[in-house]
Amino acid sequence: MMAASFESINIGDELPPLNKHIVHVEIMMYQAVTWDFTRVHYDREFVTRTMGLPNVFVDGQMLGAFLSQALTQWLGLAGRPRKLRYRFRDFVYPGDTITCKGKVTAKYVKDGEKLVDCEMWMENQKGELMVAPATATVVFY
Amino acid sequence: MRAQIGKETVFTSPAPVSRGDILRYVRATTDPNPLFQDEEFARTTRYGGLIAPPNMVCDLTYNIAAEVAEDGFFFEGIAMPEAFGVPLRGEHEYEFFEPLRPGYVVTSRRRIADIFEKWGTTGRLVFVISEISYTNQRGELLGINRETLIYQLGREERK
Repeated sequence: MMAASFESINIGDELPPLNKHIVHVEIMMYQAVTWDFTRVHYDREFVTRTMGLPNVFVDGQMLGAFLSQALTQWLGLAGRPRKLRYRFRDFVYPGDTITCKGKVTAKYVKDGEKLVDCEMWMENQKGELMVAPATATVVFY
Repeated sequence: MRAQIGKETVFTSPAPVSRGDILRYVRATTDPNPLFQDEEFARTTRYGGLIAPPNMVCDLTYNIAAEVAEDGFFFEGIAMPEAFGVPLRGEHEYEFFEPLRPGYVVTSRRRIADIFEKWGTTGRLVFVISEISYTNQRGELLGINRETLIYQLGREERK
């Protein structure tokens, strides 16, 4: 886990990338804990027949959880996410590997708070964009 | 359809969020962060105890009385303007305030902020933008989720 500090951050700094290997059972775990039993995340026959996709796909909010994890991994105990905005581009399937990436775009003090803005995105193992654009604001203690 | 804009639904979870819920969410998302799973460690931090990862407050469906449709499959029990079928997620915009903690009873207030149509490659698309705020039993604001769901009305669903 990287422990960043507000003082050491520079605009253009890259966040440590976060890789996740996508596992069907973990998709099911996510559906279970969020109590969301939407069929396209577990029923392969249904999703291939009705949507023409190759497999069940990951719930978008699970991808958002990975983006958030990239932030909390980078921050350690030095700060906390304040805002996260993300837009979906493409589907993520079991067996894929996704990478969350980010870059610092702004650093400022507002109302006495130390804030940093980041641009973020998510790629799959082929370098295709899965989530973009995404932006985040974090607050440092 | 646009008459639904401004419509509000308030729902209070029938059960508090538990440490088990948080641990399951952390396991599902393979999050190694001890702040979200190790109570002893978390007590030594400024948070004074285990907290949930930031997105979790916005990700949970607090209505455990999940609906099962006539075809035997799940559909969202939230108040939607019409039965448009299962949407795709378009975008989320989260704002985080007080962290979610075990024992919190969450109330979600959902307001439809905008509804509009577009024509895409699959035909008629309806975009529904909702703003949902999450508070705990003390009325403390935990999070805000501005979510865009996309209903594909032009696609023929083969049953």
